[in-house]
Amino acid sequence: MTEAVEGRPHAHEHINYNFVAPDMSIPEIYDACFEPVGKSGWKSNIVIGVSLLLIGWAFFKWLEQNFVGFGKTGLHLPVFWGYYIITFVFWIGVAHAGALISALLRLGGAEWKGVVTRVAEVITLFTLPAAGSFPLVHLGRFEVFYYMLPYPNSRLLWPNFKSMLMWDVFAISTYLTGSVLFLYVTMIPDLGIARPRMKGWMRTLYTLASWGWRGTAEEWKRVKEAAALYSVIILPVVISVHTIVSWDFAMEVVPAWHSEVFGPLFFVGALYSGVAAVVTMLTILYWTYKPYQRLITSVHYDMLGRIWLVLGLAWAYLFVNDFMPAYYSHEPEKMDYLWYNAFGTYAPGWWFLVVGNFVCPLFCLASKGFRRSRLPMFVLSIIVNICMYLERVVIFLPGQEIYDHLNGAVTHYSPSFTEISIVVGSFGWVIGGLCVFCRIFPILPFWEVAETRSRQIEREIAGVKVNYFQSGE
Amino acid sequence: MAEEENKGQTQVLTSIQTVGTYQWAMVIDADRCTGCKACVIACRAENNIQTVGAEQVNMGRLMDWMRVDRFWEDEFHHKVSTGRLAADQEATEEHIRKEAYEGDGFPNIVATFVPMLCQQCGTAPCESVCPVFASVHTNDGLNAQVYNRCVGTRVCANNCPYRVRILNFYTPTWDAPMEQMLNPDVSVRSEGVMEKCTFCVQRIRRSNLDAKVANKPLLDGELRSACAQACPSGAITFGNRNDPESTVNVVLKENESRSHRVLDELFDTRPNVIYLRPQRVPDAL
Repeated sequence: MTEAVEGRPHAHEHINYNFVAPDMSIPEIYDACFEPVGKSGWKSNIVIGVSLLLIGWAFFKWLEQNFVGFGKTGLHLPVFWGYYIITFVFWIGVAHAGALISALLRLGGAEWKGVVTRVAEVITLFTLPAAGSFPLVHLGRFEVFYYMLPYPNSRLLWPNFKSMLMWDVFAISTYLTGSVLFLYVTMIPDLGIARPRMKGWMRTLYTLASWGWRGTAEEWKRVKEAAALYSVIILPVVISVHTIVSWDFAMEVVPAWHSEVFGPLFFVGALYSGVAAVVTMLTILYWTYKPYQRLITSVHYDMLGRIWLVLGLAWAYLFVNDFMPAYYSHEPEKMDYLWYNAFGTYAPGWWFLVVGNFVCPLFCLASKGFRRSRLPMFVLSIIVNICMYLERVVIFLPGQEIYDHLNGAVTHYSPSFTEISIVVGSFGWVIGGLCVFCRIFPILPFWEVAETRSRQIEREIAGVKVNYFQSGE
Repeated sequence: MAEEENKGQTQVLTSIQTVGTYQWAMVIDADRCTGCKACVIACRAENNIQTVGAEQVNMGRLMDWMRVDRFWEDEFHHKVSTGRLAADQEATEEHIRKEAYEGDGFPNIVATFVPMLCQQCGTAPCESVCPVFASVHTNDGLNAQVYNRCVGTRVCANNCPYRVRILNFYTPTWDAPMEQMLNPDVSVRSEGVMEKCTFCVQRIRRSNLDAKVANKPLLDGELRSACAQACPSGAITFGNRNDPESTVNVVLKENESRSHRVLDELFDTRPNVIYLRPQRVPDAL
């Protein structure tokens, strides 16, 4: 079944899919999980260096945009929301991987979750600030962004709570707080366990961050309760966040945006790209760190592939649903938008999106062989993420470009160098941030993998050795 | 009346049109408009609108608060739209089309000009979406833009079906002597804020204050917006809708059958700018 567990006669894939506990002792798991922690290598140095350059350049361009003028972007009438907002929605989507996948897996009691949860949460940790920064970058007057916060002031001015942009402010900040806490609480045991083995400033960091964790039964109980509680709390937050992001558009009068299906479409699309991001990240970890190869098995890919397939089908259903009612009702504005997408300037992107995001994953992911092979899944995850970016492009830009109720003018918008720099800089932040995180903290949760391993019971039933898990604590 | 003006606090939370002494409104007669764009120039001069240059204009960043949309109609459609030809006479359409486009000489086409400016909607889509209340409704029916409060999210521009809101992409500059001609009553907007037609709010406020000082009511005709003042053919009428004797109401009453509000039926925006459909019979047709 995989390189890691091959040769184990009892590890029979048809018997228990939930079984992914590695064939390793717990000290071995510890060594594997903490392998990259505290070490530096030239490869990651290069990645971090390039990321810093990109971030620095983006920061410079952002300062330039603030001081010279917003005209440094390519925006113009009537396209007032450009690539900043597209990238914002894209990162929000990727960020949905974290909390939702790990919360669902925790609540569903999936025993294979161990390897996936923290990867997903850490992706959220870095993509969500990247997402949250774009509405600020996109402000015409960044220096007064605090007008959007409900702070007390002498004129008793409040933000407009009827505006969906205000809902956005609260939704994203709630989600950021919740997902950081979620990640942090489940990391405390690892930090506490690893603290005595750390040296230098890392030891200080782990000591401070683990809040005096000693590993008593009471502490374990509390951590697990907190993780369960956060899982339950974060689910509605996840659903609301992206629905609210979609309302930024759906509540406007732009005909292409004014669509009831945007809430679920954006939510499912976000999860879809989120799972793709997790697959990308897992594969890169697999290739980068040798000890991880025993922990990240093809069963993980299989399981993620199934979730991915279901989400892909749901996404396709909703995406088609965005057009079909418009097509059958022959609402002129919606029809213009549909034709403009399918045969206009954005036609190549649109058709690539249809093939790459729907046709291709549907047929690929339906096959178990495909789901279990690493390289094809990696390639597919990259394609899907490109397609999800394209999806935002073809939803947001054409809608504005052809939007003119009065004289039907069509304009074209393309991003300026400033916009491209800042968008690329956000990618630098996410990739560099993930790299730094891997060097400081264990990206695979040791205690969750070890716990799975220790609860594993092997038993011979009817001459076949099966693995199953002790339920409960 | 002055008390009325001060009495009501601005109801920023509700976009429902309030009823007070004044409801400023504009009537634009498409029959009278010749498309000369004097209103656009007057608006630029009155409201310190920046000149952005050819490069920016080509990028679609023209800052004018007012534009004159042109609508072309051929003979057949013109006759149908003005009611002189029943729409079911489609058998003749092919014939007329042929005549119009393929006959010798210039095609028989009529242009209708529609000056488009902020419609000062009674239920404005831009007001409800602004996160910081930079776009608010005033008691006298105006749709005000508070430049100091604007953070530049541009969501109001997206939500405006008339596309009359513009962002200041750069801080405006004027060459040396030109800044002397700026209107001191109107603030110069800085980079990153949205702006749009204000119905010449500086004139409205000045007239209100003058009337208050003189202790007499503000009479109809004492106050006109810059575009109405500049219009040579008198296509634009500006005045108080709550005054039954005002020119606006007289013109409206005379031309009730022609009056309509643009896109009101689609978005229920209830604009304070009322258009009169063209009815003229051009010589050519």
